[in-house]
Amino acid sequence: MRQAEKNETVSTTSRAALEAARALARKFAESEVFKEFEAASAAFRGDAEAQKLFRSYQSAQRETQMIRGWGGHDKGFEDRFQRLQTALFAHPTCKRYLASQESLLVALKDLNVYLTGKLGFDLAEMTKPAGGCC
Amino acid sequence: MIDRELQESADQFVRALEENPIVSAFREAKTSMEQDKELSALRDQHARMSLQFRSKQFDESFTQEDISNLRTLFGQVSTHPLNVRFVDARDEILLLLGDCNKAMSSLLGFDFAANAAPAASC
Repeated sequence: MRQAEKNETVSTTSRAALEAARALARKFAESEVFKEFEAASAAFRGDAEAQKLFRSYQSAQRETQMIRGWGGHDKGFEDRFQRLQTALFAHPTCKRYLASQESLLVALKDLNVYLTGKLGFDLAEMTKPAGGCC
Repeated sequence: MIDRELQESADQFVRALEENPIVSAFREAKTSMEQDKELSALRDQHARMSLQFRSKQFDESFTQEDISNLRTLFGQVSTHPLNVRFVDARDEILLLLGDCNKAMSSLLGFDFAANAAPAASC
């Protein structure tokens, strides 16, 4: 095959792959799990109290992990973290948002496992942003 | 486990990728690289030597000869024709898959690959 023909074939098939990727994303966006994630995210964005609680939880989590990372233990920080964690999972908006996020991640990973099985290489692993460990 | 409709869309996406010469070139290059005994032996040797070198770095017992040997071996692996072919093919497919990921991510509103990839292990 001449180079020009080869380039044209690559270009055409790449356009087809991109269109099939978009169709797959559109189909995923029609799923119940994605719709629930969108709805739960919108509810979370509209709930100032839930956002404040979530931010406090994240901050307490960072502080506690840092102390644990240094091999230390501070009962005050641990207690605050536990209290906020309990409050977070008891708050309806936060609970719904976290559950929808978890379900979405499971669904995305299931889809990637299916694609990997068919393709023989891990599409998400190969294209995810480069990052550090943990 | 994914539902039938999503499975059909996933199958179409897989077919579209399989029809692309970039994907077939990558698969062929990967298989050739993995099945070549000479290259496999070189890669294994390089992996072993790298490990030994790292442990020598801890107690600072490495020598200039260790560095030269490791460099020579790395050069043999990286310039091996089958490795060169694989790296070129991988660069090509990464561009294509990256574009597919961007296309999916822009519709979903988050990075598909970052969220769908297996959890990182340290």
